Amino acid sequence: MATTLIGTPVNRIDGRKKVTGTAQYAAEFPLDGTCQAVLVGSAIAGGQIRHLDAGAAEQAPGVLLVLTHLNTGRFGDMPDDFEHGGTTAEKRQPLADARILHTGQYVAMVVAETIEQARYAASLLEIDYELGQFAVALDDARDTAFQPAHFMGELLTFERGNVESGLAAADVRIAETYVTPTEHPCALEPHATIASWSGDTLTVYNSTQWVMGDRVVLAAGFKLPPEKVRVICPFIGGMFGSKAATGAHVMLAALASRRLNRPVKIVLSRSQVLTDVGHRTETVQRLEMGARRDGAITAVRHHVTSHTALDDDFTEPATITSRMLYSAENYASRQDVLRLNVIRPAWMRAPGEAPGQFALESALDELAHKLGMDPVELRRRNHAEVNAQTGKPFSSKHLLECYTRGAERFGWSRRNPVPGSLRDGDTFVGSGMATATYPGYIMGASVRVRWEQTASGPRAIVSTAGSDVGTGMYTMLAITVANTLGLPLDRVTVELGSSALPPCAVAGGSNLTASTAPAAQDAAAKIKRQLAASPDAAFLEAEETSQPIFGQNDKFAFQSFGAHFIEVRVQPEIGRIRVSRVVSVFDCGRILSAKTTRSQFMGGIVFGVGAALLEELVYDREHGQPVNADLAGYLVPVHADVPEIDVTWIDEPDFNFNSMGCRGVGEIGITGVAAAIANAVYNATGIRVRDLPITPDKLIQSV
Amino acid sequence: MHPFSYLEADSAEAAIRAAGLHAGAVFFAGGTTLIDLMKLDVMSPATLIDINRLPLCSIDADSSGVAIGANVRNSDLAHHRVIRERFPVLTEALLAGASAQLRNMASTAGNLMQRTRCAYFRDINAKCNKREPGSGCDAITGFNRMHALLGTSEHCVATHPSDMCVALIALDAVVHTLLPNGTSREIPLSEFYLLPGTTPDRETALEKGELITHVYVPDHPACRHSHYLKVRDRSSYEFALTSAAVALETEGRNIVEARVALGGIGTIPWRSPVAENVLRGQPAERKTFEAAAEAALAGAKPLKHNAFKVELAKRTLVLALTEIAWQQH
Repeated sequence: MATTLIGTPVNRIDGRKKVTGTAQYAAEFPLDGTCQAVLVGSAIAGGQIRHLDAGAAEQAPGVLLVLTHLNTGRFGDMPDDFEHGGTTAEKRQPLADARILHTGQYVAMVVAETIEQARYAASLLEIDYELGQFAVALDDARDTAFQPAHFMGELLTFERGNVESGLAAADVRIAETYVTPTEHPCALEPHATIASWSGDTLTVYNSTQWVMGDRVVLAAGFKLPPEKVRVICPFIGGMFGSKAATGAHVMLAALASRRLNRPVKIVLSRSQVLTDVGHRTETVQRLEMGARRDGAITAVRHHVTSHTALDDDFTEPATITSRMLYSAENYASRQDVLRLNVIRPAWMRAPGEAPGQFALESALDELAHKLGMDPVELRRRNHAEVNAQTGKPFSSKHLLECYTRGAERFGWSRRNPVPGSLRDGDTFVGSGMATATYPGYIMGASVRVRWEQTASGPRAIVSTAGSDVGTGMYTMLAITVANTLGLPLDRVTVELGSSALPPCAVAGGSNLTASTAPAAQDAAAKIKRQLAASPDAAFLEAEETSQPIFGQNDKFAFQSFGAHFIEVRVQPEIGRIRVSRVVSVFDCGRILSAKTTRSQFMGGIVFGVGAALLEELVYDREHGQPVNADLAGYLVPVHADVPEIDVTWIDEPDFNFNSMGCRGVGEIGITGVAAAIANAVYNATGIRVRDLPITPDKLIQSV
Repeated sequence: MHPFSYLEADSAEAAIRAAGLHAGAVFFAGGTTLIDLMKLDVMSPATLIDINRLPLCSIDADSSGVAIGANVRNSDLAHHRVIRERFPVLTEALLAGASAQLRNMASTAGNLMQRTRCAYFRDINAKCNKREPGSGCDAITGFNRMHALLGTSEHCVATHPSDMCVALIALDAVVHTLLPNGTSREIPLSEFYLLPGTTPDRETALEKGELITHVYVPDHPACRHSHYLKVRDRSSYEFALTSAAVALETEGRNIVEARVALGGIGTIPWRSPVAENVLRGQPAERKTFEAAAEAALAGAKPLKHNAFKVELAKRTLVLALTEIAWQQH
């Protein structure tokens, strides 16, 4: 079979729809009689509602319904973790009672004929709060600490070997604390839902990365058989983890719609997205590391403290890469979690890996400096052929080639290791590098391919429930099926994002390409065989399913790798940092759709620039609310912050993982970027910043 | 958002007449701040008087200065040839502010009237004397990294957010207005903004219903040698941590005229006559600039999270002066 399309830079097949505005997003489905809802958030961070009077709001023009804890009632029991095929965003039921657990917690939904009427009525709610104790800073909640046992089956607190003796055997040691702040995915498209009932059948248009998960939760909440619930999401304007769980706004929209017997639309405000949708928790990471003079790491101890909400358990698993990435016989990790008055934290692009790699890759740079060794060389000397935690060999690993190619493309050999040695006027120039890594996941998908002969020639339709969250799923599946069937790309149609289609896992964990592409190829190959047997067929259909693999099977560890080389220009006097060059090389198996994949890698790197220099959701410790919950306050990179990014990949298929040889690319881009930038800032100035983001104040205080 | 009525005025006279007839009326130009604050329920005017059709869109220059119409959009002003050539500090300040989209909408008078970005002012659940006189100030005990160092009071520490106004106050700009009784008046920008004191809700010298018609910027040899330097967390589309608008006229090595204004650190756009006095008559060199910066920030009152801005503001001013002095040699 000639492969003509795989790995070529094909334009997004849905690009025209997106740029002409015909791609329909969740809030854009015009249903007759749709009424508009707004949510009202708590003014206090902890305590309870003493008294709530909705009378004036209910009497306001156009108001149809005001839901509060007084009249909402209980939903059916809904699953609240990922092991049940769907999960609510919080354990607590929407509008369950008068308790207030965090600022912004929904206390009412107001539904009216128009959005203006709903907003005005919302301002008429009279709510009397009784302020209780609350904490939004780790230092104010030390007494709530606990140690969660597991993350996806992996121990969080354990020791292998003997760290004390490993540290004692080291010639050089470091022990530092690295801090990453609360960050938020704040996708461009706010969370939005339109719910509509027809008899006892519920249809929900939802901005979601998991239509099947929403179906499970909605069916449980409304005590319906799953087939009575249809969830539709053809397009998403970004999610980065924040649209995997079913939010309270979805449940409340469906409830309001049922009571009113009309479609109800809710779109969260930007401030609500940042306040009421789970964030990445802050992490305080104590990292101790020892190495022999030759660079061999003798021991690593990684102690992470992060937060969760009052009623919900969530752990940012920031120790999951330090245990496996480099050869280290002696290793110990510990994760402590404290309870704060915030929304339940949630997954955000490379949960665990992103903050964990900041600490680990910064620490390696510090170690390299102490050893007088090149940072790339230190990583080479500790290169692991097997997963250092499980001992399983990696199915396919080309990290050393990433280092070599990246260093060459960047011109790493010209770097002066002495901090502050390269100047351009009053600007200091520095270079840093870091390793990127993310596991290979397959969470399982069924993909159906239909082939039919038409007057204008044969065509194929590919269908699966999985969502294209903006990453290029439509294009990737079209490429895969067109390639197998030998059809031109424009003869393949792709249907995604509906729970009525063959089931598919959540678009998370960088798994969807590895889950759907092999199934799509297998289904297409089956049709091809059928066509060979009956060349006159007018219509053929096949469906294939991929089986889950969570990072390992009985033979192999599945892991993607990469390396970032980054140059920064710094004016330490006024604290100004500009990232001036990025060279990244990735090893993610075979790349199926070159153009959309490049965009994904670049998007991850831009995320990393944000984490390094800008992003921090700040809570007011005294008063308990986030103080920068809008896009003017929560800073993400703008174009001027992003330099040219040179992305290449080692195109080696991983057939031990799946029949397409591909691993996911969605998350690895961000991992290591913040460390590479911090390392570059150190090389430029001699200033080591260990708490993100690296803002001007942190630099000028060191000058 | 509260219900409001909307009127379109087709002349300045009609606008001030409408303002006199409707209690709780405000003028509406670009709307880049006003609509935002109305959505947040921070401002709930009963009536919007749309002044976009008023013929206040011209930029008229002669040898003594330039008159800028109230409705001139920030982007048009920034790119106007006279401004770029004779008042570069104003072009630089405008282009350092907001985003291209906002600059296309925001008007000159609207920029003068923009409200603070203080998070507590913008959050109706927080205490704020500016929004709700007498309620208190959560910023003083809260997160105040972006707040002011100069011109503060125990009632308010909110920073004036504008870049344009910092440049204009350095340029001795004068605000021209039309009063409800039909007379006009001129208010030097240095007298236009009120320090918060005990009444932070009163922000400008404007009377109720008074309409800004244009801003006059007098020319001076120093204006051509002017410069705006802004330090911020993000490269673009972000308010200043600190900024400096400077203009220098030198003879030989010596400074004969200096203009200094600071942004990001004042409750109002902060002109610094003390820094100017230090500069005048002294050689244009780092030592002089550092002395000026010390003088400019002498009265700074840092809060819990913004102390770094004292040093940063000094360095910003020194760098701005260094860059403009270097340009002249």
